[in-house]
Amino acid sequence: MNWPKFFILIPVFYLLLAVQTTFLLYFPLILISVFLINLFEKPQDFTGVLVALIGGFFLDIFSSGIIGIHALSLAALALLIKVILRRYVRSPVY
Amino acid sequence: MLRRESRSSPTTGVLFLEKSIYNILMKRSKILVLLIAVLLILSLNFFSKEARSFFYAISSPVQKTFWGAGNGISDFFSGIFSGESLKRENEELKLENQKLLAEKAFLNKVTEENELLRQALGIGLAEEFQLGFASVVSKLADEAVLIDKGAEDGFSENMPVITAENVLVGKIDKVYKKFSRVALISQKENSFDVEISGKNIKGLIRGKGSSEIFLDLVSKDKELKKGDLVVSSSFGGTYPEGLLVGTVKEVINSDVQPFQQAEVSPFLDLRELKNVFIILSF
Repeated sequence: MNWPKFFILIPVFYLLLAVQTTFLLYFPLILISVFLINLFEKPQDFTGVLVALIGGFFLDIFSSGIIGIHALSLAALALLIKVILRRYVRSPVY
Repeated sequence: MLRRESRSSPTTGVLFLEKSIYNILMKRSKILVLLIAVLLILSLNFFSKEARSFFYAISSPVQKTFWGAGNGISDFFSGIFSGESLKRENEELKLENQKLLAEKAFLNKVTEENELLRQALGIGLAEEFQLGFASVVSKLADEAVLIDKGAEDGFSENMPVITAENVLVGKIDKVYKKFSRVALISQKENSFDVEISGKNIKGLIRGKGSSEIFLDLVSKDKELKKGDLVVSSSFGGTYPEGLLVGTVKEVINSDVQPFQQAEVSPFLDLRELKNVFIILSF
């Protein structure tokens, strides 16, 4: 778990949300960022999952549904990426 | 021999055990951190109104600035991705413009007449509706926008929201202390009564999401045409009558369906939306 990276990514995700809800009205910026972070992060690193949870939480705040739906969905997506990377992908980088 | 000895040495055994315990603890701590975070997020549902209000308050200055600056950039991107349709739209608009100029001359005359009648009856335009003013802070995830006024300013749920051009935006569906959430007419669950201006045709507008709406429940014996003006109707009691909704883009007349349907291009352009008026009473 890379805590400095986690705490840096929180304000970054907040800014991404601000951009998504103002500049890019129909572009899923948070979703794509979560996907990319988890894809290029080491499969053993857990930071991407927590960051996905926080990104989802920001989305929950700016939507009308139950708080936690986006957070859990994005965290599940991050975990899925990690599992796929760990089990089925061999990379010389990791 | 040497390898066997080193494997079975007590120091290596202890190190291996320590490493295993460390790994298990690390794995467990990850799950624990995730569980605590999830529980914390879910617990916010018990006071979601306050939590959302708090986050809107701290993020509104940034988002308001971004929203103002964002219109130009959104236009730039939409220009890139919809070049072909813009060209077609431009040609159609030129034709429509000519038609409108002719209509304008006629309407000027009618307006003068109307003004005179209003004066005679003592009715001012401002008295037609009691209005409140608010600025858009940001777009929310599910076809809604956040405005910078709330319960403190006398706003309440189900109040209609319009633009300065009398275009229907939607209605307030959640009121916070200093903010309100406006559900746009294009929201999927949204439906309201409308009529075709100048014709005796009634129907129902349904939201499709992604800023799209369609007209439903139009009787088959009525003649619906492309370009027909769709305005709100007071029939359902949700909105006052005569608010601009959109124009008919394409009529769908299927033999299977008991009613006529139509794609409607809404007048509401989210990228241009900065200030809105809230109809406090009608």
